[in-house]
Amino acid sequence: MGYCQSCKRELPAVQKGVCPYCGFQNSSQETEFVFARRYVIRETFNGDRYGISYRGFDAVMGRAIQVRRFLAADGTPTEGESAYQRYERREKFMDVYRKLAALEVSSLPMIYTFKAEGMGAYAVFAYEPGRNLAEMLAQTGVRSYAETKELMLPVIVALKVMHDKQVCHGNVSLESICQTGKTTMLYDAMGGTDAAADIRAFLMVFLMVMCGRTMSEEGGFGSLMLPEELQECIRDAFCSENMLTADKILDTLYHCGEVAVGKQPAEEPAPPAYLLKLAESCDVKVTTLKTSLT
Amino acid sequence: MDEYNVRTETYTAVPKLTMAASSIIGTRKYQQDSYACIETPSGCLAVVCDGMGGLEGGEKASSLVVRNLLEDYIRLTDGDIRRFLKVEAIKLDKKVFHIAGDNGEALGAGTTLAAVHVLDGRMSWVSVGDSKIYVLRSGELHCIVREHNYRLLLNEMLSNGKLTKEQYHAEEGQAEALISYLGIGELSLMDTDEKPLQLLAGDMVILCSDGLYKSLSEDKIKAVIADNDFDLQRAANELTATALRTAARGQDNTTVILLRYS
Repeated sequence: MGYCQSCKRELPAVQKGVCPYCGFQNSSQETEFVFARRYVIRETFNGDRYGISYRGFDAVMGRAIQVRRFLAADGTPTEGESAYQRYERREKFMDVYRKLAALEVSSLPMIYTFKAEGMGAYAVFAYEPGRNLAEMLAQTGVRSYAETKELMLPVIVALKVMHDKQVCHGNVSLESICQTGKTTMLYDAMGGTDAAADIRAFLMVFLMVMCGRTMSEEGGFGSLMLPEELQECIRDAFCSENMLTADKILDTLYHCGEVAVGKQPAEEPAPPAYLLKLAESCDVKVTTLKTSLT
Repeated sequence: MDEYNVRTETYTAVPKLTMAASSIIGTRKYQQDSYACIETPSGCLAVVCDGMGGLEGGEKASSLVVRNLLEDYIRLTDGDIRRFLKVEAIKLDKKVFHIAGDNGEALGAGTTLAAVHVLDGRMSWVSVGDSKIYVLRSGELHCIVREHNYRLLLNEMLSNGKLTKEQYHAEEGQAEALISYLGIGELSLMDTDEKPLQLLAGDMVILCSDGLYKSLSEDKIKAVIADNDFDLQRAANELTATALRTAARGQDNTTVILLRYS
């Protein structure tokens, strides 16, 4: 057993290396640990004061998973935040994942489960390793509209389905979008309320992807420099006189998404009418009837 | 009102039954499973049938049993549900036995039967064949019926000393063959309840065809249900979907009905 070098809490033996309380990577050879008595965690990332993400393996179901963990399992509110505010934030986390779990779209990873955990919570979803869009863009230059559309279409589809369910990403950026064999979007910073902000941010990303982007000397997207004329174009697109133009672009993008999504899921077939008639004739009230009979 | 002028009332939450079902064809050419769950003021009846027999024989058999059971349940006026289930099984065995093809010859079809009835938390059941009925209680999965296959006989003969271990292993190749099913003609083996099982709040009843439990271990079944405790229909869908994903070589027709008492 040892102590976390950051928060000084005692570390159980099986959790050497990564602190389960603050997420700090203590200097140790052992980084693997078991979470929720079932998930073997091999990598920790995206740790901040609200949450932490893991990648690992579901030992029961035999599949690769990601975990998004909303911290404060020990009930300690963060600085400047009351316990009730923390509770509200936890409930929002659960509500977002409840809505996301109801979505079925190929470009979003499947949510396997979400659970409350003391004052905290966690969500488990599918992990498919693949290329990262940011890394990919770092290696290629300007691409055609068609290539851009192909890259971004799965994201459009995902955004549309999410917005239809009143779930907003809140942090649509190159860093938060991860592309795999089928494009997925990391469930990071979920719970925004402004779908319009998602769309504006997405359009920015769409144009950046289409036009390529210029890296500063330090590299990365934090200091992204767009060509001046493109910055003008984006500013113009969102000014009130040109909103139609922006709307038209968005309509086109969403239309692509609708085509990609295809038909609505089939409704549950109606039970055979003759059975309901039989029940009526026998004066029996049927509350529920699910059957494979036609 | 009490001495403090406070009105107190006793409130007891009454558990209710929620139902969900999912059925997939798997990688087979025909869907030979049939199912139904119906809720009326007389209670909830859930039934799963796994048909067998060449071409469409299995489908005819399983859908005939489900159809007749539902119709007779709707017409039932006598409240003796345990007797009803037993009598229905015997009657339907003969009906399935006589199912004929287009040429008038008996199809030789058959079907399993797993049916439960729940009223006010009291559950009765009947089972013929190798479809199963489980009760999930406090995280533990309990199978309350037996598989009516040759292995049942072999185990009995082994424990009675009528068979040696070597003879047992020699016969194991046929262990999965059913020794009791509807359509056998002279039904003599079925599992029923001696007295109704009282369900507790939080219990879940699972009816399934063998496509489910032959693909998923009990641990996986429990994990999928636990992962989807927020949505019963999603749990049912995930069970059949996981069975299909997990299957190494082909997946049988798979049907599951979940009844949650909470």
